[in-house]
Amino acid sequence: MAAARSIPVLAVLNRVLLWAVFLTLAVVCVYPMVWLFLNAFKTTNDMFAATWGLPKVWHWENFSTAWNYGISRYLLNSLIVTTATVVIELALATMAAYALVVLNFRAKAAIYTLILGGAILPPEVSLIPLFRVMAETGLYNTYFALILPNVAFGLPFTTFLIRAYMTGIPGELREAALMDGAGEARIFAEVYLPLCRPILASAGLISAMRVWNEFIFALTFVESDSVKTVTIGVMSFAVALRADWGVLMAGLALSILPILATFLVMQRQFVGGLTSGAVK
Amino acid sequence: MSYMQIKGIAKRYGTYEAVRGIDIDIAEREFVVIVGPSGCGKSTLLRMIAGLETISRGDLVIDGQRMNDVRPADRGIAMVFQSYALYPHKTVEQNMGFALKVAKTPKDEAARKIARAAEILQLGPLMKRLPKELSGGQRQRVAIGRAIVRNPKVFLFDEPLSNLDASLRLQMRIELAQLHRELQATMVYVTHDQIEAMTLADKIVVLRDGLVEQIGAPLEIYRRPANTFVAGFIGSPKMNLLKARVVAIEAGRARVDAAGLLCDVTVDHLPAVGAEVTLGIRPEHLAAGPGASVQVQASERLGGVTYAYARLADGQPVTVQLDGEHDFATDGGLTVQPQPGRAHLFSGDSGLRL
Amino acid sequence: MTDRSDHNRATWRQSLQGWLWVAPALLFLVIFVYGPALTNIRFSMFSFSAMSLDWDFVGFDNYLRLWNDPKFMTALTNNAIYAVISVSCQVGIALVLAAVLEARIFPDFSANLFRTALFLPSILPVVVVGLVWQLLLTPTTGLIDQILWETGLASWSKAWLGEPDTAIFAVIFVSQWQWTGYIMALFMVAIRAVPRDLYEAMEIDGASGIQQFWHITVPGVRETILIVTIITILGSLKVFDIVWVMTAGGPNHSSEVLGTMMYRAAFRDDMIGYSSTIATVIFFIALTIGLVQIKLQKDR
Repeated sequence: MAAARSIPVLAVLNRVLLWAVFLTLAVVCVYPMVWLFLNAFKTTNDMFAATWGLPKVWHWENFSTAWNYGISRYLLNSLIVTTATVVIELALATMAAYALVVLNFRAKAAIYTLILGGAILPPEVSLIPLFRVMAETGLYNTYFALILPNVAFGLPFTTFLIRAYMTGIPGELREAALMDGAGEARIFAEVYLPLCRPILASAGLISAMRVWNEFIFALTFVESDSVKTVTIGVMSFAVALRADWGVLMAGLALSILPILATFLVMQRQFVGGLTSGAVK
Repeated sequence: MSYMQIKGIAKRYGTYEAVRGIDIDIAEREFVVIVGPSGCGKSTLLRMIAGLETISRGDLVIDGQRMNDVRPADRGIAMVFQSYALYPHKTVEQNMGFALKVAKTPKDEAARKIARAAEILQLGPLMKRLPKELSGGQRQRVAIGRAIVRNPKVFLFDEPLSNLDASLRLQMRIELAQLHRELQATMVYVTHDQIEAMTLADKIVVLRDGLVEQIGAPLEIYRRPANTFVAGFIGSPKMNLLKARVVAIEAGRARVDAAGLLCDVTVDHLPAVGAEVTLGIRPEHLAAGPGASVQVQASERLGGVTYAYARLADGQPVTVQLDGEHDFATDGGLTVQPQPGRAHLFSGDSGLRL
Repeated sequence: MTDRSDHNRATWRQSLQGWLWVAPALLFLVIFVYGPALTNIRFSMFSFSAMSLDWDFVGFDNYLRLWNDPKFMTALTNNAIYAVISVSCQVGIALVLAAVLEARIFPDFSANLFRTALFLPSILPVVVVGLVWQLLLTPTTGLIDQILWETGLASWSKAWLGEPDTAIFAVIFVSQWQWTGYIMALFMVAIRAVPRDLYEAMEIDGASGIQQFWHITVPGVRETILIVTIITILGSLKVFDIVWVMTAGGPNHSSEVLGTMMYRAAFRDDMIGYSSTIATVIFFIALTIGLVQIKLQKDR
C-alpha cells in the first residue's frame, strides 16, 4: 500500500523537477540574446549600473550610430556573398545529385565518395594554399574570395541532402519523360527541379545560414570594409568600440537580426533542414 | 504479316541472364499479353522493347525497322507504367501534352490531340487537376491518355492494373478491351495475373525464367497447355497435377491411375504401360459421381460453385469444383469422376505434354 | 560481336554525360578543397614566409620542431578536452533531453517552445556568440559576476577568460551552450523515427521511463549517436572561430588549439611552412576520424 501511494508522489516530484530543469535551460539559452537586445538600447553607464533591467531611456540612436558606423555596409556584403554562394552551390549540387541518382556512369561511386569526403576536411587545412591562390589570381579582397571557397566547402553536405531527396523521386517519372522524348537537361529542369523545391528551400536555408555565419575565410581572404562580411565586421567593430557598449551591442543585434527573423518565420524549414540527414 | 518481331532477344546483367533469348511475332492490331510469375523476365523484356534497357543480344524490329539503337521516343511506342508515373506537379492536361511540347507540336494541333484523347477516356472535367487530386482509376486513365496523345504504333503496358482494387480492376479490364477495339492499335501488355491474360489477350505469351514456355490464343493455352508449368499457371483455381501411372494403352488413349482416380486420356505421344506420368485435370473438369473416393479437408462455398479441397487415397491434394448447391459433408468422403476428354497427360520426367 | 561494341559505346556515351553533370561540383572541390589540402602537405616540407621568394626545403624539420613545441602539446590537449566535454554534453546530455522532450511529458506547446529555445543559439554566428559571452563573462560588470554577487557567491568570481586555468573551459562551456540544443533537435528527429508501438508494448509490460530509454531509445538511435559523435569529434578538432574570438588562444597560449596555433603561425608570425605543418597534422587526424566513420558505418 505504501509503495502504491508513494508512486504518484514520486511521479509528481519528477515532473516538477523536469519542468524546472527545462525552464532553466530555456532561460539560459534565450536570455543572453534578450540581454543583448535590451542593452543595445542603453548607454554604457546605464549598463554598468543595471545590466539586468529594462533601459530607463530607450536609446534608439545606438542602432543608427551602429548602422552608420559600417554595419549597413557589412550587412550588404553579407547579403551579396550569401546570395551568390547559395545560388551557385544549389545549382552545382543539384546537377551533381541528379547525375548521381539518375545517370549511369563509370566511377560513379568513387565520385560520390570524393564529393562527400570534402565534408571531412576542415577549412583550416586548405587555408594557406587558398590564401596564396587568392593573392596570385587577384581574387584576394573581392567577393569571389569568399564566394568560391564557401561554395566548395558547402557542396558535400548540400549534395548529400539533395541526393537523398532525389532518391525518393520514382525513377519511372524519368523513364516516362524519356518515352515522351525529353532529354536529360529537360527532365532535370521540368521534372526533377520542380519536385525538389522543398529540399532546395531547406538546403538553401542551411547553406545561407552557414555562409552568413562563416568566419575563417572572411577573416583571411578580405581586408577592406567594402567587402567585409558582417561576422568580421562586428569583430573590427568590437575592437573599435570597446568603450561604447551600447552601440557595440546594437551592432551585434543588427548583425543577427536577419537570421533571427528568418528563423522565427521559417522555424519548421530551419529545424527540418538542419536536422535532415541525421536519420537515413 | 507480323508487325513487330522480337528475335532472339536476351538481357544479360554481368553473368546473369534475365531474359535468355525470346522470339515473338506480333501482328498489327494484335493484343499480346506476356504473363509469368515475378522474376520471369517479362518486365525486362517490355523495358527492352521500350528502349529503357539496352538489348544484350537479338533484334527488335517494328514495322520493318530495326529498333535496337533507336531512342525510346523515336520507336513509335508509348508506355503505361505500373505506377502510372504521372508528373506530380503538372495538371492532367500538361501531363498529356508533355510529349507534344517536347516534340514542338504546333499549339492547336496539340490541343486537338489532347482533346481527342480526353474524349475517348472521358477525362474532360479533370483536365486542370493535379494527379494527387485524382482517384486511382482516373490516374490510370490519364496515363493511358498520355500514351494515346502520342499516337504510337505500339502501346506497352507494364502491370497497369496491379495498383487498383479488385472491383476497379475488373472495370478497367473491360475498358482496356474496349479501348483496344476503338483504337485498333497494337498492344503489348505485361502482367502476372493470368485472369488479365485470359480476358484481354488475342495472344498469350507464357514466360518462365527468361524463356518462353508457350505462345497461343487464350483458349488454346487453356485447352492444350504445353507443359505442367503452363498447366498450373493458366486457369483458376489451379489445375490438379497428380502423380499417376499408366495402366493400359488402347486406341491412342492412355488409361492412367492416380491413387484410384482412373482416367482415359487422348495423347499425341503414347507412353509405355507402367510409366510414371503427371495427370492434369482442372477442378471444373471433375464431377461428383461414381469413381475415386476422396477425403474432403475443407470447402469454400461461393454460391454459384463450391470448391472442395480433398485428398486422394494416397494423400495427394486435389481440388474439385462442385455445383453450388451440392450437398456433402466437410471432413467427409466424396466420390469424384473426371469428365471425359478434358484431362491432360504430361511426362513424369520433363513435364512436357504427351 | 556488334552487340558488344554497341553496348560499350552506349556506356561510354552515358559516362561522358554523367561526368559532365558532376564536373562543375567536382572542379570546385578539387580546386578549393582537395588541391589546397595536398599543396599544404608540400608546403609543410619548406621553411618560408609569405613575401619571401626563397623557399628552403627542410624535409621533416618542421614536424620535429612542432613535436618539441610546448604549445603543440597544450593545443593538442585542449582539443582533446574539447572533444571529451563536447561528446559528453552534446551526445550524452542532448540525447537525454531529446528523450524527455519526445516522451510526451510536457504538453506539445511547451515541448515545442523548449525545443525552439534550446535550438536558438545554434543559428547564431559564432562571432556574435563569442563577443556576447565575452561581455557576459567580463569581471565585475559582466552578468555572470553580477549573478555571483547577488547570490552571495562573490568568492567564486573570476576573470574567467583572463586566467590560464579557466580560459579554455569558459570557451568550451560557451560552445556547449551553442550546440547542445542543435544536437538535441537531431536526436528528436531520430527518436521520432523509432516505432511508437515499441514504447507502448514496453509500457504495457510495466517498464519505467528510464528502462524504455535504455532498451528502446538508445538502441533505436544508435546510428545517429555514431554520426553525431563523429561530427562532434571532428568539430572539436577543427575548432577555431570561438577560441579566436574569445581568447585568441590566450592568456599566455593556455587556451591554444590546433586551429589558432596554425592561424597564428601563418598570419601573425609569418611562418608559412610551420603553419602548413600544423595544418597537415589536422588533415591527417581528420582523415583518420573520417576513415573510422566509414569503417564503422560499413560494419552495420
